[in-house]
Amino acid sequence: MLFNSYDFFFLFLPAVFAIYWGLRERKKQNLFLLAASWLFYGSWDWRFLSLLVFSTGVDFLCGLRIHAQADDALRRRWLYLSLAVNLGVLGFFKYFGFFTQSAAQVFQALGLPLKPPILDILLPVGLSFYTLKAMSYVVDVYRRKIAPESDPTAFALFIAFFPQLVAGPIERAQKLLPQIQSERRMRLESFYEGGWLVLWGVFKKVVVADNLARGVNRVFDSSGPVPGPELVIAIFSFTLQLYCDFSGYSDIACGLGRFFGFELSWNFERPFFSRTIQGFFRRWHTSLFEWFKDYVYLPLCGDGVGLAHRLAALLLTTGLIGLWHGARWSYVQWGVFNGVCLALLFWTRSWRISMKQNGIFPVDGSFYRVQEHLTALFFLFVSMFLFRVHSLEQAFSLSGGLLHWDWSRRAKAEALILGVLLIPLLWQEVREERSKDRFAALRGGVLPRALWYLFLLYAVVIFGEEHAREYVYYQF
Amino acid sequence: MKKTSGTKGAAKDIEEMLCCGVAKALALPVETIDPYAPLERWELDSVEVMYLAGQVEKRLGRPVEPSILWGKMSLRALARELTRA
Repeated sequence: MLFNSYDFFFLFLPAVFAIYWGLRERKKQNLFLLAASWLFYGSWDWRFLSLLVFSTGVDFLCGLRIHAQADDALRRRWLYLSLAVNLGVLGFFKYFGFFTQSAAQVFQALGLPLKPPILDILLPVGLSFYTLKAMSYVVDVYRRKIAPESDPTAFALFIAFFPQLVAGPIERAQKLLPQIQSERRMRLESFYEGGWLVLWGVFKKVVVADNLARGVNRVFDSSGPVPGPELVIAIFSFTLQLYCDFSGYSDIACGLGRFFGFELSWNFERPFFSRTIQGFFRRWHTSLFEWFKDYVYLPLCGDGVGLAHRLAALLLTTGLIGLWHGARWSYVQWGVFNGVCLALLFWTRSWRISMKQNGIFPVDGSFYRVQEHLTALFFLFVSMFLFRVHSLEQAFSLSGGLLHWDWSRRAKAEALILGVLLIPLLWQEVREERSKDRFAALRGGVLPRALWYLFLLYAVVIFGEEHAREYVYYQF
Repeated sequence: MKKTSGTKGAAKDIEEMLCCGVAKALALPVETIDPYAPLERWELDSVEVMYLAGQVEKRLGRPVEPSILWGKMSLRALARELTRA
């Protein structure tokens, strides 16, 4: 069941909403929300649900056992058990085929032909997201940052809460569990805010992302070079498509959360307004980058303050972030590319700052700001290009088209579609960035607001595709 | 009056501590760290931000959100903000 499907919006959501608020008692509400979340998840495949319940049970038990042990060695043993189960499940379902095939290729290159076992494994939707969430809970209990949850329903709801089960935000226990444990009240303001987030999220997904997807897929599914303008427009379009697809999903998740009295974390903070590459990563898919920062990068850095140590930790972390996105070397290459860029910036930081201090590079003024912004955007487009291609060979093959700068009719049409779709997006994002208010659309006069909402609704109905297109991040 | 000067003194202490921390992270002389420049200019990474936030936490005796060290605020403004609360 997709967020952007009729089944979800006109059947599942109204029914769950009505029964949930009709129950009034927190424990009953939690139990009902858990049942609804499991039903939502089971609608993909009931076998996925059994895996979710199994992981939930293991992590619930491990959390309690870690807390109950005084001996550090025993605590560590329960932590390792939880990590082994989580990583084992993730590794088997997501990476088994990838690693066996990669190993076979290495052996073949060494002249040792090896036939790996071929297993047709279906990747359970949302596995990468809820596994990270469960792991952060167990690690935080082990680090004594939080107390374990003793109510199995509350814990299972923390893992399975349907608005953020299949594609995040990867919520932390510190933020979501206290909300699950406390009474929720119906607040009119929350419904307005939730309604706006859902409308804006659906618009971004159904109108912008899905309409850009066709042109993007046509270019990136071709093996040979395509004319330069078409390639450049496809890269711009893909960047926007991915942003609108995933941030649209995240907005809907946050909006749905508000309908049920929960405040979920924001996953995107208008990343295109970031003037630096480092800033971009603090605004894009923040729950994932924060997760890798807290549970991979910082522990890898440890007390090692040496530059080489720090850079190695950075490259390993970004490589793992790439691998998290999918069992494909192109994702690892994308992660490493980001890591190399960040490492270069970190390595040259003192030198660049000294140059600025000595007046060799300007540090203020609109020219400086524009060139800094354009540099960050250029990096972003190269990064997105590497993310979208299927392999490095395809990246080189497609790039050959940049030498043929021919504005075909198709390129002009794609540019026009991109430009038209950018207008409402920029309008809204600039308003939010200027006011630093995510709900800027709820402020102001009644008439302009009503016209804006009507326009968005009209666009969803008219330009939305008949059949719901799956979210890009569902595959991860 | 006494309270104001106390708060000012604490803000000055925090500002000096932050300037020293930034200078150490960047391997630059402390006098080159402009307390009026926005924090984002120093491009601090997660490890440095966590360390500096930890130092400030110890001094103030209350939790400090590390991400404030990535903002547009200057070191001086941040020190004042932290001691005002």
